[in-house]
Amino acid sequence: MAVAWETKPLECWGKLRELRRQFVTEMWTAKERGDLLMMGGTGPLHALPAGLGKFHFFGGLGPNFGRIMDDFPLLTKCIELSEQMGYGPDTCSTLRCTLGSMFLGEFDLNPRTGERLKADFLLENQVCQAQGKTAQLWHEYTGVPNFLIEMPPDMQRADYMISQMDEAIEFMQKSTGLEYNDEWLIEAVQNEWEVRVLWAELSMLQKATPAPLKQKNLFSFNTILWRGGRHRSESVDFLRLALAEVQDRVANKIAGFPNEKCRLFHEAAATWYKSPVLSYPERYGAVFIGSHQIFAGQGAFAIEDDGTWTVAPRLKDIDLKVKDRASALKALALLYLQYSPGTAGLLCLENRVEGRAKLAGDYQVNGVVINNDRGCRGTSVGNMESILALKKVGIPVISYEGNVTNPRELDANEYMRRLDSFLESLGLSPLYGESTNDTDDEGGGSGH
Amino acid sequence: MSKFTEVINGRHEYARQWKERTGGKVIGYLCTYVPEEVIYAAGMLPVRIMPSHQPQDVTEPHIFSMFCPYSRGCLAEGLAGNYDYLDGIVHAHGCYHIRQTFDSWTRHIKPSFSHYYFMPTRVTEDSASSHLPRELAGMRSSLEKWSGKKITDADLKRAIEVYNTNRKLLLQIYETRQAESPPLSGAESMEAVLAGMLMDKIEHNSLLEELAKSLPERNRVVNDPVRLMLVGSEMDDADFLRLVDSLGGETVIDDNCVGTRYFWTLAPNHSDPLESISRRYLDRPPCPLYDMKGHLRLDHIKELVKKWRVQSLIITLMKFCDPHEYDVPELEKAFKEIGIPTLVLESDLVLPEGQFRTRVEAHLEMLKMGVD
Repeated sequence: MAVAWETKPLECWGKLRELRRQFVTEMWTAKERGDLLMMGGTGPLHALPAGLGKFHFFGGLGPNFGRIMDDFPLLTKCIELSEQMGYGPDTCSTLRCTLGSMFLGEFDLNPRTGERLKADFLLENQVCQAQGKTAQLWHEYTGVPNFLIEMPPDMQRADYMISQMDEAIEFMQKSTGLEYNDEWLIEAVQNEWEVRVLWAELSMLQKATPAPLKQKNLFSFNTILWRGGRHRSESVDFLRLALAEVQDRVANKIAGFPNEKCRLFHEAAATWYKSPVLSYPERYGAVFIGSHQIFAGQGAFAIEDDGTWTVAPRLKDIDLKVKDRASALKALALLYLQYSPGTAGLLCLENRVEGRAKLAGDYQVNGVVINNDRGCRGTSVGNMESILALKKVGIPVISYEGNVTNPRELDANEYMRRLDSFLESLGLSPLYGESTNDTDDEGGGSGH
Repeated sequence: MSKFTEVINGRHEYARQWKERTGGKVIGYLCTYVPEEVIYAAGMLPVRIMPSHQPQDVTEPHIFSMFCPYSRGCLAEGLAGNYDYLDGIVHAHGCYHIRQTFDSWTRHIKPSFSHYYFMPTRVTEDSASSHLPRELAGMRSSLEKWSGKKITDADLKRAIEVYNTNRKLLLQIYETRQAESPPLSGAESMEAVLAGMLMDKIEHNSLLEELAKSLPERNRVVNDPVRLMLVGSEMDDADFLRLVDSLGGETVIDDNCVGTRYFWTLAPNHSDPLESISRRYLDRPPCPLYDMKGHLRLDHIKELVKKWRVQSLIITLMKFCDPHEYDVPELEKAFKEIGIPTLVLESDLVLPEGQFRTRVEAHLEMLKMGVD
C-alpha cells in the first residue's frame, strides 16, 4: 500500500533538544551559579517558586531518572532494592525506582563529576495519594524540607488551595532565607497560563486528518514542561514556534505519520522506558495521536455544558487583573481548578471517564487503548468505567496491563498480540515493508 | 450471640426496620472520615457500607482488579442490591480505591443523594483547619437542600453530644483491656465498634452502657496470652481475631478504622458546632493517607503499645492497599527499635484461615520462645 500522506521532520525539533539540554544543564550546574534547586513531582505549580528568583528543578523522579530508565539492569536493581527494603509491589512503581536509586546512591549523583545534587526544598502538588506518601519518604530519606499543596477538585474550594499557596510561600522563604518577589510571581503566572493555553491550542490541532503530530511527539514536547519549565519565557517562545509550525502542517496536510489510516488514543501512562507501546500500531497504519492524559496534563481547557473541550481564555481575556500576590494566586487557582481537566480528572472521575469518551469522538479516533497500570493507581483510576463509557458511544476500546516504570510488569509480547487482534478487528492488516518515516527519531517510550 | 453480633449479621434488616420505625432516611458512607454527626443531626441514620467476606465477581467491569478488595467488595454489595434501602451516599476524599467505589456507585446504583466531602489530607496545616468548617457547611447545606429539612446548630450540638458519649463509652470499654486478663476479647471489642457503625447511636450507647456495667462481673480467664496489637488497613473480620485468640494470642488494642481510629478523640467544646466537628476529624489518629508529615501515627501507636502493654504488632495489610503499604517499612523499623516484633499479613476479604493460622502460630511460638 502506498504512503497516504506527505510527512517531514519537525523543524522545531532542534530547538526542543536545545532547550531540553539547556534545562538539564542548568539543573546540574544550578549550585555553581547560586541558583535555587527545587525537587518535586512532575506537576508542581512551577510559577509559585519563581517568586524566589531563578530556580531549577528536578522531579521527584530524580535528576538521573532518564539515565536509569535507559538502563534496564540498573532500573530493575533500583526497583528490586526498594522492594527488599519493604516498599511492596502495590506502592507506586516510580517511587520504588527513585527510592531504590537513593538506596544505591544513584539518585542525586552526577555521574560525570561524582558530586551530589542537593535540592533547597521540595514542593509538590498532591493530586494522588502516592505523591503525598512519596514526598514524605523523599523528605525522610534526603532531609530536604518539603511542602505539599493538596489540590482540591474544583473552584468552590479555591480558598483552600490559595491558603496553601500562601503557606508554601512562607515555607519557601523560611527554607531558603530569601525574600519572595511578587513581580516575579506575576510574570511566572502569566507565562504558565500562556504555556497551558498554547498547549491546548496545539492539542486542538490534532483533530485534523492527518494528525500533524504523533502522541509521541507530544510526550517529547512535554519534557521541557515537566523539567520545571512551565513558567519560563523560553517555554512560551518554544510553544509559539511549535504551534506555528504545526498550524502550517495542518494547512498543508503534513502528517505526523505518513501511513495514517487509523487514529488511536493511548489513555493513561505509556512507559518511561523504551518499549513498543506507542509505536507498535504503526505497522498496521494506525497511529496514536493523543489522549485525555496528554492533552489535559499540560493544557488549559474550558469544558462546555455538553462536554466539549475548547481552549481556555488567555489570562488577559478573563475578568481578573493580575497585579499583586493575591490576584496571582487566584489566577493559579483558576488555572489549575477550573481550566485543568488533568487535575480535575484525577479528583472527579466523571471528568476523566466522560471526558475520554467525548474527546475520542471529537478527535474522530477509530479506537482507544487503555493501560491498566499495575504500578500507578492515579492513572488507572476510572479506566474500567472509561471502557464502558467508550463502548457506550460506539468507540472500540482495548485495555492491557502494563507498568509505567517497571518493565518487568509489561509483557510486551502479550501487548503486541493484543494489539494485533484489536487492529485486525478494526479491519487493518500489517503494512509489511512500508516506509514509516515520520516526525521523530525518538525511542518508543514517553520521551522522558 | 451478643446484640452487637446480631446487628452486624442482620445489618440490612436493622436499617430497613429503622426506616420503617422512624420514617427517616438512611445514608451510606464509605470511609470513617465522613462526619457522621452532620448526617445524624439531619435526623438520618449513617451506615458504613461494608463488603461481605465472600468471593464476588460483579465488579470486574467497573474497578481494575488491582484496586483493593475492600473497595471492590463494597461496590459488589451495592450492585447486588444489598443496600437498596439507602437513600444516599457520602464519600470522604481519601484514597483512589474507595473513590472509584463512590464513582461507580453513583454511576450505576444512582442513589437520589450523593455527596463528595473533601476532607483535607494535610490535617496538621492551618489551611486545613480553616477549610474544613467550610467543607462541613457545604455538606450540611447539601443535605438540607436534598431533604428539605434545616439542620440547626442545636441539632449539630445534640449529635456531637451523642457521638462524644459513644466515643467515651468505647474508650472506657477498651481501657478494660489493659488488664492482665482482659474481660473482653479482641473480636468482641471489634464487634462492639462495628455494630456502632451500623446502628442508631442512641441505641448503641445503651448497649455500650450495659456492656460497660457488666464487664467488672465478667470473669474471663486468659492463660498467659501474648498481648497483641492489630494495626493496618480496614479489617472487620472478627473471625480473624478469634483465630488469633485460639492460638494463644490476645488482641488487646488496635490502630484500625474498625477500632480505635473510629472513636478516638472527642469533638471539643466550641460555640460553632462545625468548628468542633472539624477539630475532631483533624485531630483523630490518622490513617496513613492523612499522615503526610512526620509519621505522627507512629507516636500514637507507640503510646498505645505502652499503655496496653503490647508484645507484638500484627499488621494486616489489605491486598493492594498502597497507602498502608507505604507505612509498613516505617512501622517495622520504628517498633524493631523499641524491641516490639511485627508480623505483616496480607489480607483479603476472604480469610485465608490455613495460611494465617500457620503464620500467626509460628509468630506466637517465636515470641514465647523469646526468638526475635
